[in-house]
Amino acid sequence: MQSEKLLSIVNLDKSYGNHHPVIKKLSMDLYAGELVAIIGRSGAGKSTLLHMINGTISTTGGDIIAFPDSDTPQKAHLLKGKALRHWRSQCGMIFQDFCLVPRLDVITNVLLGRLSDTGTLRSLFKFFPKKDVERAIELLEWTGLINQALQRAENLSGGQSQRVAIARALMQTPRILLADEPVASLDPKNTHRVMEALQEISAQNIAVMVNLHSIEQVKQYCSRVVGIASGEIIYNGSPDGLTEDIQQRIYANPAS
Amino acid sequence: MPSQTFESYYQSIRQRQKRESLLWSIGILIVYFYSGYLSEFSLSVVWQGIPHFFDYLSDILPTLHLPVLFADGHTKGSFAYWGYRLNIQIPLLGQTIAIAIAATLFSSLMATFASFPASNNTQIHWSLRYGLRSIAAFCRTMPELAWAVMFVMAFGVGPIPGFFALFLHSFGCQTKLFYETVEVASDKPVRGLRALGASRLMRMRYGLWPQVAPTFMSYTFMRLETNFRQSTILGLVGGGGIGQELMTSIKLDHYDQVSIVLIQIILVVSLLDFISGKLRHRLLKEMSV
Repeated sequence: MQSEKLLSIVNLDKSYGNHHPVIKKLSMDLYAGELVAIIGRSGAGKSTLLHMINGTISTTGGDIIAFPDSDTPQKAHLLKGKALRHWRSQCGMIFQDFCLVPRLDVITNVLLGRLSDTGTLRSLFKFFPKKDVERAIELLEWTGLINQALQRAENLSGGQSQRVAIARALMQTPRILLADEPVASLDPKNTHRVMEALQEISAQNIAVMVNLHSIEQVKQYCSRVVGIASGEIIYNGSPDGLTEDIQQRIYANPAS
Repeated sequence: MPSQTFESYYQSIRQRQKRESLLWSIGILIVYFYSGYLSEFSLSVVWQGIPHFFDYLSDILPTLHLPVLFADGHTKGSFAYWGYRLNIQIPLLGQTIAIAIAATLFSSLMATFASFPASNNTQIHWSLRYGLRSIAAFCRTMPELAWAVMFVMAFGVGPIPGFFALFLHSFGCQTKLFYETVEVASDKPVRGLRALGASRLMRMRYGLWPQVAPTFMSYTFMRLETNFRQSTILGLVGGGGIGQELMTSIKLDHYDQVSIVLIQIILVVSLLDFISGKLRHRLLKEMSV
């Protein structure tokens, strides 16, 4: 049985100013429960793609359709204001540099994941509902960071920070999780923990899309891989089908 | 040969750097001496004045006589005689402290709210940004004394003009210091919050505020120290507090009262510096935002 389609990207274009395009007519779908790796050379457009889905970078052309199978599909790239913030809360994002609030303690950082659903007054003064706090504690237990819950985020190691960032993203109860090179600055042990966490998240019927640099990680953890070169999809399929030849084409020098 | 090309290129760059620093040095020296000439500064006047430098200081020394040092206020030469106006001066000193604290707190609070829309990294409309910046610049460039004179004209002599003068000038200074702090804050937390759907207000509250709050606090304490000294000065033009007492004593040639007021001011300023320094360190370490 095919699982629910959560995202449909159709003929997506992106160019900055008059420079040559970063993304060219890119089309792909994203299904619930998948762990999809995006691979490609630096500058191939992987990061741009993720940021366009989340709406932090605008698109130049094409469509990003959120929940195409549902009764209320939305064009995510056209959303503004409150609707855009709601969409962002449904598609969590984690970064290579974690983007936590360093001076706040860990549990508050996790609770911030609920900001888009908390009233202005309540959130201004850090009044988070009891069930949110309980959920935050659960997530911290799951990431193994409950003992650090009251420490400031600035005192955490890289691996710990990334796990807090994941907990924060899950606090949003997202349908989609975008991970922009989440393990690029981590050691092998922490890489393993973070990738395993992403695997567990995808098993909860969340679509996870992750930018990676290592083919080994793709083969070890991911259910599908999309290879991009110069803004175009070269390969879209199972990690097992990633032959030497295809890898060559993905990582080859861009034709100039 | 490429290495030769590099060598000559390097030399030409070095030459230009040397030429530029020489030109700048000459320029600064010219400005320096010309401004000395304009302000009629002359070393001979300084030299001739040195022997008289301590004249006033020796004039204001109180006359104290050892045998009657602890006698009552009617005996000339006693401590009590010297400090016969302390019952008036100490409340005035309190008034000065109160003016400084009130002006500092109020201006820093207002500046906190003004600084976020005045920063260029909070995605606020440029018209509001430049409006706030201009108001702050105006408040800041008017010296406290000028503000004080204006308000003395309006409200009469007393602590109210002193407060308003300090408040407006501090608001201008604090706003500038604050928005510059906001502008150099890291955008990482802000990016993170943006991606999870936080509104602009929430991005300021959680992305920027925790980063800048300790610095704001630090600047507020420093402003308190400055304002206490300034509020003394404002008394000279009618801004209330101990400064007014000092001015009156100077004008009426009550020499011994000048010295006792100065001693009180010095003591309180040092004490305040000490306390606020301690408090600042403590708060910075433990503050939760």
